Amino acid sequence: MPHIYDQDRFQTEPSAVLLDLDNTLYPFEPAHSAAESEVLAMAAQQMGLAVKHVRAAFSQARQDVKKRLGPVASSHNRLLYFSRGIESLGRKAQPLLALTLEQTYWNVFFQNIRLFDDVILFLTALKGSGIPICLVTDLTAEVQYRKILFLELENYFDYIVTSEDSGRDKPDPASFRLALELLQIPPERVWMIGDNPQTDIDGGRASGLTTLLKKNGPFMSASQAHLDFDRFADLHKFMRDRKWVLY
Amino acid sequence: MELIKPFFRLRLFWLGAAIRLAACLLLEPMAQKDWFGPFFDNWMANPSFIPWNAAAGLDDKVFPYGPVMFLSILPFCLPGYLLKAFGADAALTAVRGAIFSADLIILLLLAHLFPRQEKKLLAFYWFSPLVLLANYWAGQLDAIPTVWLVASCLALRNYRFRSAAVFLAAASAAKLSIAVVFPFFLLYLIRNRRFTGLRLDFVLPFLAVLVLGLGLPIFAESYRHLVMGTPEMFRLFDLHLKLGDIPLFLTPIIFGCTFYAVAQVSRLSFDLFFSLVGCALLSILLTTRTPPGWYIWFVPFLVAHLVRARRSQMLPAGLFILTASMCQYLFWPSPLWPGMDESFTPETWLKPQFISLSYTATLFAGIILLADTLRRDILNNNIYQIGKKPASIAIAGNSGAGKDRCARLVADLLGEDSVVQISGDDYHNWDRYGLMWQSLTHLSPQANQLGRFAADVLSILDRKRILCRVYDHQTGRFRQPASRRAGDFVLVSGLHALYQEKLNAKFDLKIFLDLDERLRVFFKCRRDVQERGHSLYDTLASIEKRRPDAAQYIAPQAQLADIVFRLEPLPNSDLNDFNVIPKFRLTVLLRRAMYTYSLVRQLVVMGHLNTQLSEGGEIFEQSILIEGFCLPGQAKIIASQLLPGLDDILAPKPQWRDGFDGIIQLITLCHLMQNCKERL
Repeated sequence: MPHIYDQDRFQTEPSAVLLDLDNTLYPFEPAHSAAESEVLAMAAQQMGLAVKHVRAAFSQARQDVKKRLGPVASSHNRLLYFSRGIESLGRKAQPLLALTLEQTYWNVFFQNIRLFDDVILFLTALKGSGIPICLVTDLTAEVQYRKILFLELENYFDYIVTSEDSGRDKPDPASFRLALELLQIPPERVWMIGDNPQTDIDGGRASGLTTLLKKNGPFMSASQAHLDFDRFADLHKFMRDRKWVLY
Repeated sequence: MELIKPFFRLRLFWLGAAIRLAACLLLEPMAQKDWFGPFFDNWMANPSFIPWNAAAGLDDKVFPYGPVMFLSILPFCLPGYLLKAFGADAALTAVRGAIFSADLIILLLLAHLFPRQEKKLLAFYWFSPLVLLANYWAGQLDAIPTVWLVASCLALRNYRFRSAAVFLAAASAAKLSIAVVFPFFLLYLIRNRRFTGLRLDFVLPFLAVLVLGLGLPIFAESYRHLVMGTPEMFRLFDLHLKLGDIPLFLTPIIFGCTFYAVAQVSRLSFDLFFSLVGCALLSILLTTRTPPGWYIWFVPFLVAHLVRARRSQMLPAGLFILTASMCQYLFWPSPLWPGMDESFTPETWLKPQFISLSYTATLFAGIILLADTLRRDILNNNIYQIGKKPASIAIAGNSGAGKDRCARLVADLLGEDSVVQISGDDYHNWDRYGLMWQSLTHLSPQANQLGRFAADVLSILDRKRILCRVYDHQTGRFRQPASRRAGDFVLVSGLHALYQEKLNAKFDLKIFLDLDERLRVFFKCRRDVQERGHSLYDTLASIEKRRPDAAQYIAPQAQLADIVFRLEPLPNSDLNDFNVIPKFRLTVLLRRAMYTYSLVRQLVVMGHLNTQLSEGGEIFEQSILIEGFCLPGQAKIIASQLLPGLDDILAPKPQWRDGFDGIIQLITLCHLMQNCKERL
């Protein structure tokens, strides 16, 4: 069952729900590791190098890009990691290879993506009970929109906010502020549901939201969340018991 | 390694593992105490290349297995030997280690066969009483050949025929009785035309390994005595009726009937094959008084049935598992518990009537399970339905619209060996030099033997051979008639492929190719002027001459098609310069398609294509306008998303194209699968 750390926050139903996407609605790791190993194998084969060298180069490129750009959407762009990585391996600019690797990454990623159990039931219940839902996620809009379409989630969200749109990644308040502006409601009774104790929870708290941590695995570190839960079915039941959702 | 990870997160996996370890530590099954233990003790005391020699002075039953069984246990002898220092029994540790490992490997192989079904696998395999009883209560070694058997099935599914053959031979060389499934493997290869060139890849390695594994040891006297003299195989003759005073053996009859039934299926998918092997094994189990170990062979097939089963199907399977476990428990002596002196057999305190009752119950539950598998897994199987009658695709369109190219695209996917093609060109009344062409065009139905065309199509759909002339596009003459045998897929292309209404009803999929007229003229002029040296004026005149016939006879066929593919040039294209091929876009008109919305979604999300869907003018009609370039491999990925179970239909190595060709392949397959399912 969900564990509540702050009872006062859960006296009434939420006026709206903000949702993180990656690793909150679906497990990120299986999709990512399948995609990454495919990309590394492909890059290694195309450049005639050992996988471990390519891996090292790409991960160094990722760190460099992230460091240079800071917490903005483009710092998550794999196209940049791949092209910088290819350059650092002494192959100069290879736009075709970089683009192919990026496409491959997302192809394999999508093929290995599965929603967590009961996410659809939970979203349907929120939607059917008239609680607005806004997706608040870091990364570029195009990739996130593709994911949403692929997962067939497009009809559940009232608004979608990406950090490309808001300008800064979470925990910066920019995305939360934009979401609240779109929803036109004050933050007090708005829930932020996410998996990341820093970006989603601390960030959401700093913006005055009620924060709910989706725990993935039993060993999640303690966080400042107002509530945490393991499965969407649990959270759904929690809301149903209090008659905050109709079904 | 990737596959075992999901299990680590599940508590039930660890619970099952703990139960197994506890059983290994605490229980002392009779088979291990009296047979395998002393056998390996003897062998470790006097290691020899002929392991069966270690049975000297022991019971005949101590090790009636082939060399692979011994080799599979051998690696565990070393840790067993090392653990001896800590007071463990070396031989028993080795045997139990091997059984536990085999058990775990079967779970992983099943995870390969049924990805993302971890919870169901734990419930149906890891906690199956049949598995636990056979491996840890009765302590039998059958999990080891089962590993090889399941590995062989897995390799077969992945088209790795050589590995499949080696694994199956290994299973047989571990335990000879497993070889009963070999005919089914053979049938799977024969009943799949797409594997035509690959059959020897399976048969030769199988025979080679089998001869090596079963034949070589024959020179050892102890092997002949122990393995070949085992009474296990004679269990097949347990069940008999009396015909006068001659016994009639029922098990071979039932097994033979199963085989005959399978041989009647004209195309076997892997799922179908797997279900059928399961049925065959079950029929043996039900008609013989088998030791618990044999049930282990059947368990993977039972798991396959259960993973796919609906809730209502759980009951027969559950009943079977329960009664069969009960039987095994009664049939086999219990192991020694810690602190217990004598092994006690329930038979001593349970009345024989009860044993007989529990066998009866097992047979009853097994027959229901068998019927249920046949009805749900086999008769409802898509491929089984498709296999009953060849799937047919008709492709019509004006000359130069790309009918042959489209047929080629489809054949590239389905595989040359599974496809038989009928081309309308072979049914022109006269060859290119016929004088009647002065008054008729090829487009006129009167210039073609449409009656014969229809008769031949019907024959092929009835899986009969046909004899037909072949039109040679190079010389313009007919070549000597050739015989064509039926295939699993029939591709009919021609100017008048959709011209005959009664014939249309027989086609599973009707395609009309509608090349934009400007493009058609462009390509025809380009070919005739540049390649064949005709004058532009003559070419245009001949096109003009055919135009009325095209409008009267060819174009109306578009109304009858399920799919109309229309290629047109992008607006503002320059079609006057023959050196520059214009860029196109593709419009697809779909009639009665149920996959349209998911297809469009995939084209946008995965295909990165500019796609516009509009509801068509008529009811049941939709049209999709597609622009952009489909990357190589993208069509394949979209297909795997949209069409689960596609592998069973396609060639072992399907050739997916890029660009619009790939999209044409994709949509054709979507519609074909949809329409074939409607046969159910």
